[in-house]
Amino acid sequence: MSIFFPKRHPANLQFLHPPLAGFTPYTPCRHESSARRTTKRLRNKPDPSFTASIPPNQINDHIVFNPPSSAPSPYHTPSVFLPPNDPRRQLLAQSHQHANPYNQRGRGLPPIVNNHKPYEKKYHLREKEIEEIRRLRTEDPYTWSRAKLAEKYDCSPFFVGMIAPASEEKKAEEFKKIEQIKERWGRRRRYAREDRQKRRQMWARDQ
Amino acid sequence: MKALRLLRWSGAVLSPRTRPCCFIHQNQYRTPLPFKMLRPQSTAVAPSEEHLETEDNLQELLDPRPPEPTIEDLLRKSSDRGRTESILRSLPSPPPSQAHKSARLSALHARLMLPPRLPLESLARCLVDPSADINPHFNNSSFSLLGSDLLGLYTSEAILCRYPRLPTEVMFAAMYGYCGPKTLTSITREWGVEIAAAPGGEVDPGFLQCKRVEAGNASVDGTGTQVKELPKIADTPNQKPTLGERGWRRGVSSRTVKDDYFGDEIKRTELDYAERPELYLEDQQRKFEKGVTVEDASSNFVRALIGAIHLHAGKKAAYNFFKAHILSRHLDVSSLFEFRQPTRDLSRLCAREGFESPVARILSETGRKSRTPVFVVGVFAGKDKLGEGSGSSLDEARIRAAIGALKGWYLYSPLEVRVPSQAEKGKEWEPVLVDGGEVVV
Repeated sequence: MSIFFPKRHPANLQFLHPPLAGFTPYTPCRHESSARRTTKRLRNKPDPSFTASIPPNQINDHIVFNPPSSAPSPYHTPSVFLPPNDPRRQLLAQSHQHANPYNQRGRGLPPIVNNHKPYEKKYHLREKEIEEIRRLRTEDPYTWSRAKLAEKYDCSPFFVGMIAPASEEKKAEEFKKIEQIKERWGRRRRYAREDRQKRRQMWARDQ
Repeated sequence: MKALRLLRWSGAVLSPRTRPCCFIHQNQYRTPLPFKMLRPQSTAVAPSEEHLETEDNLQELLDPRPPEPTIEDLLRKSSDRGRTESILRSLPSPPPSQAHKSARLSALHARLMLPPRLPLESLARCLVDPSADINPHFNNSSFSLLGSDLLGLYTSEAILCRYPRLPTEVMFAAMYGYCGPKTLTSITREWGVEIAAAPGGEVDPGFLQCKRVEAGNASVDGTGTQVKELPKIADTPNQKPTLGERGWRRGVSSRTVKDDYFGDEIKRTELDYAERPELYLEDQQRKFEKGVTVEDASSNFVRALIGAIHLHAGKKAAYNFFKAHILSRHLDVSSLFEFRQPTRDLSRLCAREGFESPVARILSETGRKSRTPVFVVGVFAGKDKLGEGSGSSLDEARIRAAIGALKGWYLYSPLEVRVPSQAEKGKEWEPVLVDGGEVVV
């Protein structure tokens, strides 16, 4: 038989003695240092575009035009698109605010999105080669696909598709293959693909 | 153009003989209609038959008969309330004399601030649909024909002069937005015009009178079958051949030439009616029997009202009314666009107009490697920015930027425009901008 002895003294167990009001402060104190910092943070200066150009004696005698940054409205025609006799063309050219910033010296244009070299058309295929492409495509469309012909004749697959479109049977077969692949998709992939299509439609409608 | 004093000869204009299709009305006068002698007090003027049938006329002169009493005479004479009621009930639509007794009609006249030259009788006639009263002297068919053309002219010239580069499809959509049947119906509701439960002579002339088509979910003779489940009979028999039978494609250019001002196919043209007048009667008869939708009746009413104002108060009043009630409505034309391949269209446009070929450039971006990146891309032709767009992928931003640039081109609007119909004699006419047309790839 063993007797249990508590290891700690009961006077040290906090939960037995609720804290006394006088010893533990409940309300946090607001010190001078924090108040000063807060006021300092809240003391915002207006944006320089509001005040810089205005002399102090005219401070209440002007219109503030400082629109927030937002997508440009489609109703604002860029000055390049204005017809030559439109008076806005001259006004925009004179305006300092609407001047083209990229015309300034030493100001480069922003980086290009797809920085690959643009495809240059060669126009090197003659009537004879085109006939040859057509012949190959009709004789054996499975061997001579668009990509293969494009590789052989050093042109784009789009051009091959344009001059020698596949026969209806070939097209139907290809569609069937795609359908078979689509049938193997699960719910998740199918939904993801459908959503992507819908998103693309929304871009087209600019929504 | 010299201002015409319409009031003097409005009687002649009001006759329904203004178009080839309406020559059939003359035939109607010749054939004895049941209400012909009873209801002569129309706002339209009947062609005098003296020129047509001279022999009968001579007979009449030799043997003058007392004229038959009209509805108005009967109403005036009858002191008995029940008798008046029964006379009114026998009519398909309220007689013109009732117009002055209707508070509803006067209120509508005042609320729309219609010109005082437009009499209440004509306003009442605008509210009678052909499905309620088949007689063209008492319904609004001739008014709505004129009003429809005026509405089409004013709206199309307003849109085209304001946005001279608008693609045809968008133009049609904008036309539909400004003066399509749905818009005209909501205008009717906003004006506070209510529809009579059933048309008849005893109904207050301030109500829109039309015979409603049966609801699609109404049951047929108490059976469980719904009307919409019944096999459909073709609405308009003897129609033109369908697209396949005609053997030509219905493209945008054919829609501009052959179709109505919304680009919708016209079932029967006025030429068809002029060649075969019985078709018109057939159509009217079918409408009278089957009824019309509330949308049809309401849009016909608005068109008829514009036509009536044009006839009674002149061109200027009609145009002002149009401006106040149709053109003042806000339509965001930029939301009507839908592009299939905006980047390709833009490069075609730049090639056509002689700009440098467009290049997409990243203006700013944030969080490229995060879950929610934002890219702002601008399309540049040389050093000039054509458009700007933002999106959560570079592709999206690029496409949106191209769309922005295309919209910037198509939605160009000249500063000061005077539409062709408002050309006056005093001022010199300045031609409006005619654009090269939309991008065709």
